[in-house]
Amino acid sequence: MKMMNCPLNGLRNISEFVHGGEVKEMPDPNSCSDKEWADYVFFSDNAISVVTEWWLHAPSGYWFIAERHTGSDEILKTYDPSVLFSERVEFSAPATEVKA
Amino acid sequence: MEEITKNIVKPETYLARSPLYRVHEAAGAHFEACASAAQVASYGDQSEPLAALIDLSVQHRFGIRGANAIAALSAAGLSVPEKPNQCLNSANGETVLRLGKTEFWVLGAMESGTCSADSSAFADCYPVYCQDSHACLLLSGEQLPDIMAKLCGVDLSESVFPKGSIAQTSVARINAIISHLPDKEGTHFVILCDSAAAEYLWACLLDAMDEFGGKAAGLNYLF
Repeated sequence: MKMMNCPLNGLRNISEFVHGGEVKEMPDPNSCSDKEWADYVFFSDNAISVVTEWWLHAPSGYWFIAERHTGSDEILKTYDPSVLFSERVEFSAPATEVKA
Repeated sequence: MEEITKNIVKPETYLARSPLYRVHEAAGAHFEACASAAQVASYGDQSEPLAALIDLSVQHRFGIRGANAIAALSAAGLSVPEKPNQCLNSANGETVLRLGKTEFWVLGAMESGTCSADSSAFADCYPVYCQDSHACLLLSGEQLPDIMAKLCGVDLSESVFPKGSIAQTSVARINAIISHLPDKEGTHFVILCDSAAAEYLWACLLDAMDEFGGKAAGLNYLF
Protein backbone atom coordinates (compact mmCIF):
# COMPACT_ATOMS: atom_id res chain seq x y z
CA MET A 1 0.00 0.00 0.00
CA LYS A 2 1.06 3.59 -0.62
CA MET A 3 2.34 5.27 2.52
CA MET A 4 2.41 8.86 3.75
CA ASN A 5 4.42 10.37 6.56
CA CYS A 6 2.14 12.22 8.99
CA PRO A 7 4.12 14.90 10.89
CA LEU A 8 2.24 13.96 14.11
CA ASN A 9 1.75 10.19 13.82
CA GLY A 10 4.51 8.97 11.51
CA LEU A 11 4.32 6.68 8.50
CA ARG A 12 0.77 5.47 7.83
CA ASN A 13 -1.27 3.83 5.07
CA ILE A 14 -2.61 6.34 2.55
CA SER A 15 -6.18 5.11 3.29
CA GLU A 16 -5.98 6.95 6.64
CA PHE A 17 -5.61 10.32 4.90
CA VAL A 18 -8.10 12.70 3.30
CA HIS A 19 -7.13 15.26 0.66
CA GLY A 20 -8.03 18.85 1.57
CA GLY A 21 -7.16 20.83 -1.57
CA GLU A 22 -4.41 23.27 -2.50
CA VAL A 23 -3.00 25.72 0.01
CA LYS A 24 -4.06 29.12 -1.33
CA GLU A 25 -3.81 32.59 0.06
CA MET A 26 -7.25 33.79 1.13
CA PRO A 27 -8.31 37.18 -0.25
CA ASP A 28 -9.83 39.57 2.28
CA PRO A 29 -13.53 38.50 2.23
CA ASN A 30 -14.63 42.03 3.13
CA SER A 31 -12.85 43.86 0.32
CA CYS A 32 -12.30 41.39 -2.56
CA SER A 33 -14.58 41.15 -5.59
CA ASP A 34 -17.10 38.33 -6.00
CA LYS A 35 -14.97 36.94 -8.83
CA GLU A 36 -11.87 36.81 -6.62
CA TRP A 37 -13.82 35.08 -3.83
CA ALA A 38 -15.41 32.54 -6.21
CA ASP A 39 -11.96 31.85 -7.66
CA TYR A 40 -10.62 31.20 -4.15
CA VAL A 41 -13.53 28.98 -3.07
CA PHE A 42 -14.32 26.97 -6.23
CA PHE A 43 -11.29 26.84 -8.53
CA SER A 44 -7.91 25.22 -8.25
CA ASP A 45 -4.84 25.47 -10.49
CA ASN A 46 -4.71 21.72 -11.21
CA ALA A 47 -1.19 22.08 -12.64
CA ILE A 48 1.22 19.23 -13.31
CA SER A 49 3.97 20.32 -10.91
CA VAL A 50 4.92 20.18 -7.27
CA VAL A 51 1.87 21.44 -5.37
CA THR A 52 1.37 22.39 -1.72
CA GLU A 53 -1.78 20.78 -0.34
CA TRP A 54 -3.81 20.37 2.83
CA TRP A 55 -4.15 16.76 4.05
CA LEU A 56 -6.05 15.36 7.03
CA HIS A 57 -4.97 12.35 9.08
CA ALA A 58 -8.52 11.19 9.82
CA PRO A 59 -7.97 8.97 12.92
CA SER A 60 -6.33 11.85 14.81
CA GLY A 61 -8.21 14.73 13.14
CA TYR A 62 -4.87 16.38 12.38
CA TRP A 63 -4.51 18.76 9.41
CA PHE A 64 -1.07 19.25 7.91
CA ILE A 65 0.59 20.35 4.68
CA ALA A 66 2.17 18.11 2.07
CA GLU A 67 4.20 18.88 -1.04
CA ARG A 68 3.34 16.45 -3.80
CA HIS A 69 4.16 16.14 -7.48
CA THR A 70 0.85 15.78 -9.33
CA GLY A 71 2.53 13.99 -12.26
CA SER A 72 4.34 11.21 -10.40
CA ASP A 73 2.09 11.38 -7.26
CA GLU A 74 5.29 11.33 -5.22
CA ILE A 75 4.98 12.93 -1.78
CA LEU A 76 8.12 15.05 -1.35
CA LYS A 77 7.60 16.34 2.19
CA THR A 78 5.00 16.85 4.88
CA TYR A 79 5.01 19.38 7.71
CA ASP A 80 2.92 21.02 10.43
CA PRO A 81 0.79 24.00 9.27
CA SER A 82 2.51 26.19 11.87
CA VAL A 83 5.42 26.42 9.39
CA LEU A 84 3.22 28.54 7.09
CA PHE A 85 0.58 29.88 9.48
CA SER A 86 1.86 31.53 12.61
CA GLU A 87 -1.34 33.16 13.83
CA ARG A 88 -5.04 32.41 14.01
CA VAL A 89 -7.16 33.80 11.12
CA GLU A 90 -10.00 35.87 12.55
CA PHE A 91 -13.10 36.68 10.51
CA SER A 92 -14.76 39.97 11.33
CA ALA A 93 -18.02 40.94 9.70
CA PRO A 94 -17.96 44.27 7.81
CA ALA A 95 -19.45 47.13 9.80
CA THR A 96 -23.09 47.54 8.75
CA GLU A 97 -25.16 50.63 9.24
CA VAL A 98 -27.90 50.20 11.78
CA LYS A 99 -31.20 51.53 10.48
CA ALA A 100 -33.24 53.49 12.95
CA MET B 1 -37.57 -13.15 45.69
CA GLU B 2 -38.76 -9.60 45.09
CA GLU B 3 -35.81 -8.36 47.12
CA ILE B 4 -33.36 -10.17 44.84
CA THR B 5 -34.97 -8.75 41.67
CA LYS B 6 -34.67 -5.27 43.11
CA ASN B 7 -30.95 -5.63 43.65
CA ILE B 8 -30.11 -6.74 40.11
CA VAL B 9 -28.32 -3.89 38.32
CA LYS B 10 -29.67 -3.27 34.82
CA PRO B 11 -28.38 -0.82 32.21
CA GLU B 12 -31.92 0.46 31.63
CA THR B 13 -32.04 1.76 35.23
CA TYR B 14 -29.52 4.45 34.29
CA LEU B 15 -29.60 7.29 31.77
CA ALA B 16 -25.92 6.76 30.89
CA ARG B 17 -25.44 3.47 29.03
CA SER B 18 -22.77 1.87 26.94
CA PRO B 19 -23.47 1.73 23.18
CA LEU B 20 -22.93 -2.03 23.66
CA TYR B 21 -25.37 -2.64 26.51
CA ARG B 22 -27.80 -4.69 24.39
CA VAL B 23 -24.93 -6.92 23.24
CA HIS B 24 -23.93 -7.52 26.87
CA GLU B 25 -27.51 -8.25 27.95
CA ALA B 26 -27.98 -10.72 25.11
CA ALA B 27 -24.74 -12.47 26.13
CA GLY B 28 -25.95 -12.82 29.73
CA ALA B 29 -23.57 -10.35 31.37
CA HIS B 30 -23.72 -9.55 35.07
CA PHE B 31 -23.70 -5.79 35.77
CA GLU B 32 -22.60 -3.75 38.76
CA ALA B 33 -23.20 -0.07 39.47
CA CYS B 34 -20.13 2.02 38.56
CA ALA B 35 -19.82 5.73 37.70
CA SER B 36 -23.63 6.23 37.77
CA ALA B 37 -24.17 3.50 35.17
CA ALA B 38 -24.21 -0.27 34.80
CA GLN B 39 -20.72 -1.64 34.21
CA VAL B 40 -20.26 -5.24 33.06
CA ALA B 41 -18.71 -7.02 36.04
CA SER B 42 -18.51 -10.51 34.58
CA TYR B 43 -19.94 -12.85 32.02
CA GLY B 44 -21.42 -15.37 34.42
CA ASP B 45 -19.35 -18.39 35.38
CA GLN B 46 -16.80 -18.26 32.56
CA SER B 47 -13.26 -19.32 33.37
CA GLU B 48 -10.40 -16.81 33.13
CA PRO B 49 -9.63 -16.32 29.42
CA LEU B 50 -6.07 -15.82 28.14
CA ALA B 51 -7.07 -12.44 26.78
CA ALA B 52 -10.11 -10.40 27.71
CA LEU B 53 -12.15 -7.71 25.99
CA ILE B 54 -13.83 -5.42 28.51
CA ASP B 55 -16.28 -2.63 27.75
CA LEU B 56 -15.41 0.48 29.78
CA SER B 57 -17.63 2.86 27.78
CA VAL B 58 -19.67 3.98 30.80
CA GLN B 59 -16.56 5.08 32.68
CA HIS B 60 -16.06 8.84 32.76
CA ARG B 61 -13.66 10.68 30.43
CA PHE B 62 -13.25 14.22 29.15
CA GLY B 63 -10.96 16.17 26.88
CA ILE B 64 -9.51 19.66 26.70
CA ARG B 65 -7.44 21.45 24.12
CA GLY B 66 -5.87 24.86 23.58
CA ALA B 67 -2.69 26.77 24.31
CA ASN B 68 -3.39 26.73 28.07
CA ALA B 69 -4.12 23.00 28.32
CA ILE B 70 -0.70 21.95 29.64
CA ALA B 71 -0.65 24.59 32.40
CA ALA B 72 -4.27 23.85 33.33
CA LEU B 73 -3.69 20.09 33.65
CA SER B 74 -0.60 20.62 35.82
CA ALA B 75 -2.51 23.07 38.01
CA ALA B 76 -5.26 20.44 38.48
CA GLY B 77 -2.65 17.93 39.66
CA LEU B 78 -2.82 15.77 36.54
CA SER B 79 0.24 14.36 34.82
CA VAL B 80 1.21 15.82 31.44
CA PRO B 81 2.85 13.42 28.96
CA GLU B 82 5.97 14.94 27.42
CA LYS B 83 5.14 14.42 23.74
CA PRO B 84 2.04 13.84 21.58
CA ASN B 85 0.93 10.19 21.30
CA GLN B 86 1.98 9.34 24.85
CA CYS B 87 -0.07 8.57 27.96
CA LEU B 88 0.70 8.85 31.64
CA ASN B 89 -1.04 7.85 34.86
CA SER B 90 -1.91 10.47 37.45
CA ALA B 91 -1.63 10.05 41.19
CA ASN B 92 -5.40 9.55 41.61
CA GLY B 93 -5.55 6.76 39.02
CA GLU B 94 -6.68 8.77 36.00
CA THR B 95 -4.85 8.28 32.72
CA VAL B 96 -3.96 11.36 30.68
CA LEU B 97 -3.68 10.82 26.91
CA ARG B 98 -1.81 13.43 24.89
CA LEU B 99 -3.31 13.21 21.40
CA GLY B 100 -1.77 16.32 19.89
CA LYS B 101 0.49 19.22 20.82
CA THR B 102 -2.32 20.88 22.76
CA GLU B 103 -5.04 18.20 23.00
CA PHE B 104 -5.50 15.94 26.01
CA TRP B 105 -8.08 13.32 26.99
CA VAL B 106 -8.43 12.15 30.57
CA LEU B 107 -9.75 8.64 31.30
CA GLY B 108 -11.29 8.07 34.72
CA ALA B 109 -9.66 5.80 37.29
CA MET B 110 -10.52 2.25 36.23
CA GLU B 111 -11.71 0.94 39.58
CA SER B 112 -14.16 3.78 40.34
CA GLY B 113 -14.76 4.82 36.73
CA THR B 114 -14.80 8.49 37.67
CA CYS B 115 -12.64 11.58 37.03
CA SER B 116 -11.72 14.11 39.71
CA ALA B 117 -12.83 16.96 37.39
CA ASP B 118 -14.44 17.50 33.98
CA SER B 119 -13.71 19.83 31.08
CA SER B 120 -15.89 22.60 32.58
CA ALA B 121 -13.29 22.93 35.36
CA PHE B 122 -10.76 24.15 32.79
CA ALA B 123 -12.19 27.57 31.97
CA ASP B 124 -9.41 28.83 29.71
CA CYS B 125 -9.29 25.68 27.52
CA TYR B 126 -11.62 24.44 24.80
CA PRO B 127 -13.67 21.44 26.00
CA VAL B 128 -13.41 18.28 23.87
CA TYR B 129 -16.42 16.03 24.33
CA CYS B 130 -15.52 12.35 24.20
CA GLN B 131 -17.97 10.61 26.57
CA ASP B 132 -20.98 9.38 24.54
CA SER B 133 -19.30 10.07 21.20
CA HIS B 134 -16.79 7.31 21.82
CA ALA B 135 -16.79 3.74 23.05
CA CYS B 136 -13.95 2.71 25.33
CA LEU B 137 -12.80 -0.91 25.13
CA LEU B 138 -10.02 -2.52 27.11
CA LEU B 139 -7.96 -5.40 25.77
CA SER B 140 -6.12 -7.20 28.50
CA GLY B 141 -4.07 -10.37 28.66
CA GLU B 142 -1.50 -12.10 26.51
CA GLN B 143 -0.54 -11.82 22.84
CA LEU B 144 -2.30 -8.49 22.33
CA PRO B 145 0.15 -7.35 19.59
CA ASP B 146 -0.60 -10.56 17.66
CA ILE B 147 -4.35 -10.06 18.06
CA MET B 148 -4.14 -6.44 16.92
CA ALA B 149 -1.87 -7.32 13.97
CA LYS B 150 -4.89 -9.00 12.38
CA LEU B 151 -6.83 -5.73 12.40
CA CYS B 152 -4.34 -2.88 12.34
CA GLY B 153 -1.47 -1.88 10.02
CA VAL B 154 0.65 -0.28 12.76
CA ASP B 155 3.12 -2.54 14.58
CA LEU B 156 2.01 -2.67 18.22
CA SER B 157 4.68 -5.05 19.51
CA GLU B 158 6.40 -4.15 22.79
CA SER B 159 9.72 -3.11 21.16
CA VAL B 160 8.17 -0.31 19.08
CA PHE B 161 4.96 0.32 21.06
CA PRO B 162 6.06 0.23 24.72
CA LYS B 163 3.88 1.04 27.73
CA GLY B 164 2.74 4.68 27.59
CA SER B 165 2.51 4.79 23.78
CA ILE B 166 -0.53 5.85 21.77
CA ALA B 167 -1.32 5.02 18.14
CA GLN B 168 -4.09 6.95 16.38
CA THR B 169 -4.84 4.77 13.42
CA SER B 170 -7.26 2.58 11.57
CA VAL B 171 -8.45 -0.64 13.27
CA ALA B 172 -10.60 -2.99 11.15
CA ARG B 173 -11.01 -0.02 8.78
CA ILE B 174 -12.45 2.36 11.38
CA ASN B 175 -10.64 5.17 13.16
CA ALA B 176 -9.44 4.37 16.65
CA ILE B 177 -7.08 5.54 19.35
CA ILE B 178 -5.03 2.71 20.88
CA SER B 179 -3.28 3.45 24.18
CA HIS B 180 -0.84 1.04 25.81
CA LEU B 181 -1.56 1.70 29.49
CA PRO B 182 1.49 2.63 31.58
CA ASP B 183 2.35 1.39 35.10
CA LYS B 184 0.30 -1.78 34.95
CA GLU B 185 1.36 -5.38 35.22
CA GLY B 186 0.71 -7.24 31.98
CA THR B 187 -0.38 -5.72 28.70
CA HIS B 188 -3.47 -3.52 28.53
CA PHE B 189 -4.62 -1.66 25.42
CA VAL B 190 -7.41 0.89 25.71
CA ILE B 191 -9.18 1.34 22.37
CA LEU B 192 -11.37 4.41 21.83
CA CYS B 193 -13.57 4.34 18.74
CA ASP B 194 -16.69 6.05 17.43
CA SER B 195 -19.65 4.87 19.55
CA ALA B 196 -21.73 4.27 16.41
CA ALA B 197 -19.14 1.67 15.30
CA ALA B 198 -18.78 0.05 18.74
CA GLU B 199 -20.84 -3.08 17.99
CA TYR B 200 -18.87 -3.65 14.79
CA LEU B 201 -15.48 -3.26 16.47
CA TRP B 202 -16.57 -5.40 19.45
CA ALA B 203 -17.43 -8.25 17.06
CA CYS B 204 -14.20 -7.76 15.06
CA LEU B 205 -12.04 -7.85 18.20
CA LEU B 206 -13.79 -10.95 19.58
CA ASP B 207 -13.32 -12.67 16.24
CA ALA B 208 -9.62 -11.75 16.14
CA MET B 209 -9.10 -12.89 19.77
CA ASP B 210 -10.81 -16.22 19.36
CA GLU B 211 -7.79 -18.16 18.07
CA PHE B 212 -5.68 -16.78 20.97
CA GLY B 213 -8.16 -17.92 23.62
CA GLY B 214 -9.61 -14.43 24.08
CA LYS B 215 -13.16 -13.77 25.28
CA ALA B 216 -15.46 -10.97 26.41
CA ALA B 217 -15.12 -10.26 30.12
CA GLY B 218 -16.13 -7.78 32.81
CA LEU B 219 -14.27 -5.48 35.15
CA ASN B 220 -13.82 -8.34 37.65
CA TYR B 221 -11.22 -9.78 35.28
CA LEU B 222 -8.86 -6.97 36.36
CA PHE B 223 -9.54 -6.70 40.09
